[in-house]
Amino acid sequence: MDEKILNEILKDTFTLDSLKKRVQVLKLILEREIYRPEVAGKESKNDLEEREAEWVKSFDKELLTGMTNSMYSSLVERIEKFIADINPLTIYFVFIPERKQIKEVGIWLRSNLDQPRLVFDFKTDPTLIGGCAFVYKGVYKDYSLRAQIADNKDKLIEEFRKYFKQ
Amino acid sequence: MPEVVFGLISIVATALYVREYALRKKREKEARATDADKVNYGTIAALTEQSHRLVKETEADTQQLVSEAKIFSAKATQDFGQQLNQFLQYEEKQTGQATQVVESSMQAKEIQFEKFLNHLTEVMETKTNASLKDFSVFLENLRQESEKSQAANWEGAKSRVNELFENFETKLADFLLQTEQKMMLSVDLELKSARQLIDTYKVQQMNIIDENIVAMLEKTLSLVLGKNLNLRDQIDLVYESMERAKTESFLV
Repeated sequence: MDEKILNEILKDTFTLDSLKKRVQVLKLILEREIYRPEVAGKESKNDLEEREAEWVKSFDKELLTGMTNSMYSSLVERIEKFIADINPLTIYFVFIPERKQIKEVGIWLRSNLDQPRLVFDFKTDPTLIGGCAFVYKGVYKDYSLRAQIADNKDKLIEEFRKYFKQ
Repeated sequence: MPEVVFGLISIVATALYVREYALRKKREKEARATDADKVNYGTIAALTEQSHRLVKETEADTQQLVSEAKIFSAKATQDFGQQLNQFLQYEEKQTGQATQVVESSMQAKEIQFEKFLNHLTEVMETKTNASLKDFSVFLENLRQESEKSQAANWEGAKSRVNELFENFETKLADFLLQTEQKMMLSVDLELKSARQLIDTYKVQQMNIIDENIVAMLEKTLSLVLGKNLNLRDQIDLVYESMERAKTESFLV
């Protein structure tokens, strides 16, 4: 059951930040359902819930029905373990990606790297010029245009010199 | 002998002291004498008498010994005097003989010396003229030899000075040649060092220029592409990067 819920969470969640936020929202909803059922659906939603309302709407709520106190504890424990075990992958973009682009990149990564539960973090670095760089398992690797320029530095300088000689 | 005399005198003195002591004791005892004492006094008197007699005998013996000692001493002195006289006479005789021998030998030596002096005078007188002649000849020879030697020395010195000058010239030429070679070598080294420095500087400057070119390129591309690349192009570049990362198995 826990794994099904986790898969449902990760279905549309690709970044670590959004995963943590959505888990938080899920915990709020479940706590309300389990411990204060009288206010469930009546209490006004907080900002986080408002922001993730679309995701909450798309979530398969069938999975949460009949959730007991012990089931909730087990689920929380499983999710926290999953977050703790994530191999941190950070992607440096030149621009700030939108949700759509994040989703596209996430789907591409999950399918091409054969990791259906892959979650990444992203940061921006305009000096990359184009493309992106990665930090995976603590190792930085630059695949951007800046790195390509640095790799072809000698050729470029040679071309430059030729140009100046003319 | 004086020891015997002294011994006798000391014996006599002791005896006299004993007698005087006995007499005094006797007088004291007689002053407070009893019957028993009187008997004792009698005995003491007898003993005193005996001691008187002994003293007298001793004195007589002493007198005799002293007189014998005097006689012996006088005789010994006389004998010693005689022996001394004999010895002195003998010594005088010996000394006289020795003086005579010395005097006679001195006279003989004086005669010999006078003869030697006479002979020496004769020889000197006969040889002086010949010696003077020889000496003047010797001096003349010496002068000639000296002149020859001076001339030879002069020639030798002249040749040595010439040789020295020649050597000096040769050495000076060698030294100048070596100095020139060393200077050339030093100049070459300096030139090489300067060229190396210039090359190093050139390389450093070229590296700096290269770095600047790269930085300039990056900046230019960043500015140009930043303006000209749209979102789709950027996303394409991202996929391209991800493809490369996948190919290199970086994300495995």
